[in-house]
Amino acid sequence: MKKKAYLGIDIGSISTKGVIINDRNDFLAECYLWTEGNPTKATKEVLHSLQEQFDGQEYEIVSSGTTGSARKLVGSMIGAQVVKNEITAHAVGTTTLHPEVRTILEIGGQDSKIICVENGVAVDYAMNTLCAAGTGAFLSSQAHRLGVEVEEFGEIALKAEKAAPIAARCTVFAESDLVHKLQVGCPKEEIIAGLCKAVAGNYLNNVAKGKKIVPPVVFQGGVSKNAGVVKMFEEELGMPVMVDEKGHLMGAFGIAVLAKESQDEREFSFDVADMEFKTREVTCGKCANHCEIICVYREGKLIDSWGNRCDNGAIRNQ
Amino acid sequence: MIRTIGIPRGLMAYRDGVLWKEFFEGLGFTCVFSPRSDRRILENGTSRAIDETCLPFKMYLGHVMELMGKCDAVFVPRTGGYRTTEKMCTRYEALPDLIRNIFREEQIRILTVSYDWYEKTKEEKVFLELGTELGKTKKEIKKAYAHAKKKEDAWLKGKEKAQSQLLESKKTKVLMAGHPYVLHDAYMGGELARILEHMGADVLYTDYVNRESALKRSYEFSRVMPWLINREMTGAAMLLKNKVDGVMIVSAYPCGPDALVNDMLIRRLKDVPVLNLTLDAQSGTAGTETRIESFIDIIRYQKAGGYGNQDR
Repeated sequence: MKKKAYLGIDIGSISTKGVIINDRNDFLAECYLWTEGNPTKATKEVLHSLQEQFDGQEYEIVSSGTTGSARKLVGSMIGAQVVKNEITAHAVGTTTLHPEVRTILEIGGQDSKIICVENGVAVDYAMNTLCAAGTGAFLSSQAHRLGVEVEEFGEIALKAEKAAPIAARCTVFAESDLVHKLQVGCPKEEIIAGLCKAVAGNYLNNVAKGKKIVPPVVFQGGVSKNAGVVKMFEEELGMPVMVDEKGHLMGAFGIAVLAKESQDEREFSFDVADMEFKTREVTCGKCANHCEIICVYREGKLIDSWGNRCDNGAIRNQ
Repeated sequence: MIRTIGIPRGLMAYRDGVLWKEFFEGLGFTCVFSPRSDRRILENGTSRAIDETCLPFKMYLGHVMELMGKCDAVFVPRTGGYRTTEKMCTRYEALPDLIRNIFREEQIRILTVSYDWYEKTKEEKVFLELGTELGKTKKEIKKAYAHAKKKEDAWLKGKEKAQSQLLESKKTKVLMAGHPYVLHDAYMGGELARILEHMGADVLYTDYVNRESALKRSYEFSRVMPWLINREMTGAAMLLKNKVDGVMIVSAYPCGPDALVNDMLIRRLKDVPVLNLTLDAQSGTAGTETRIESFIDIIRYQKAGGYGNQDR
């Protein structure tokens, strides 16, 4: 008999992550790529990549889960047993690998969050609201302006003797501040260090406002790969900040762990990666709310729909 | 000649609507309420409002528009509050003027009454003035007011009773804390309550707690806070915080009093999970759904004692 394996997919606005784990929580396969505004396509690519790394002779996937902003869509696409929000997924993933963690800092492409943990369970959280200032998207756009790859930011920032003060409350202001600093001849590495510091400061003053940050602290999300931001967090907080090598996969890992714990087992086939999926947005005209209902079709057949505020808008398969 | 009085289903109608309706009907008038809020009403209201005003006020304008042509006068009271520590926000202090000015082209007839914390007055006196304006005798008015008070009291008692029974429930109990016109508006709080109930939680409301007890408790929360509705809200939240599994503070952007009070309230609700949600016209429910789901997860996994991922 084949050994059991569990699939987790985290579909964010910027990147899509996938992992397969066994019942001891070991990573059997992992993948990280850009969503590029097309969660269905990104998921298919993730599945293809995972399938290549996966030993289908030894293992079989018995349960799957999805998280992230496109979790519903991809959940109905792959027939996931568990579809859960990213706060819970990250909390589960992180506490599985780091049972002692008390604070989880997370900065992703367009969102950032803080999760406070007590006795291995999340007790409080906060997410950024409308504004994406200080997230990965902000750093990418500033990198572009400076003509530097965002991946190099951390290394460059560490070389700076000091950080140039940059107002990062708002991307628009930060950009004009940055141009000003460049014009007055401020060295690039100091500006980059300043941006990293601004990201950390902005996060602590907005998302983490009013939350008690207790060690051990784990920092994850795409921006955690930036050593400059990590250093600034450590300086601001006065405590070590841990970055897990798999930090960018923590949501996918967490949802895979939840899929495993659901004990809801069903055969999974990688064939979905080659099927055609279409989504259609329908405006419901049954009342004045005009809900936008999302319909998902597999091979032309409606498999799921959501977005209706009331039962009048429920779409049923003929 | 006024025969039918229109009551916009917004702002204080969610708190005092029963009293108003019973009073007018007791005097022999017919009352019409605008329908429940939906997107169209909000869009209509937004088109007539300035950008900076709050979401509930924009909604209110939409409700006033719903009543045009359906009544002889729209009831828009000017309420300043009865005491300096139990005032209303400036929007209420200016309500009839705002409505008259915004709809000056339509020339809608407004029925109004005015009271303020700096004049020494009581609710009964205010209703006496309102009834006199409508051409009724003192005797008729007193009778109608007494009758309306009784009806209001029965309505409140009913809500309080139903809510105290809900406190015995075995389900996850979430207290929604906020202004009544945010909590019970079908397009604002109603939507959040629907999400909570869909997740199998029981929903309780701060305005279904006995008003007098809540108001009294609020003076322990703050002696100087000037707003009546925030008093009833914080007092009720303090009374119920240990009887529920979580408190969801709901505010509609931008609310001045809430901006000051809710921060303080969060700090006083230390021993219970709290979610602070701010609604605005732009965001859909996708973001709120994720936030509410995360909040319910926090409550439930905490009760279960963990995620079950650390037994090894």
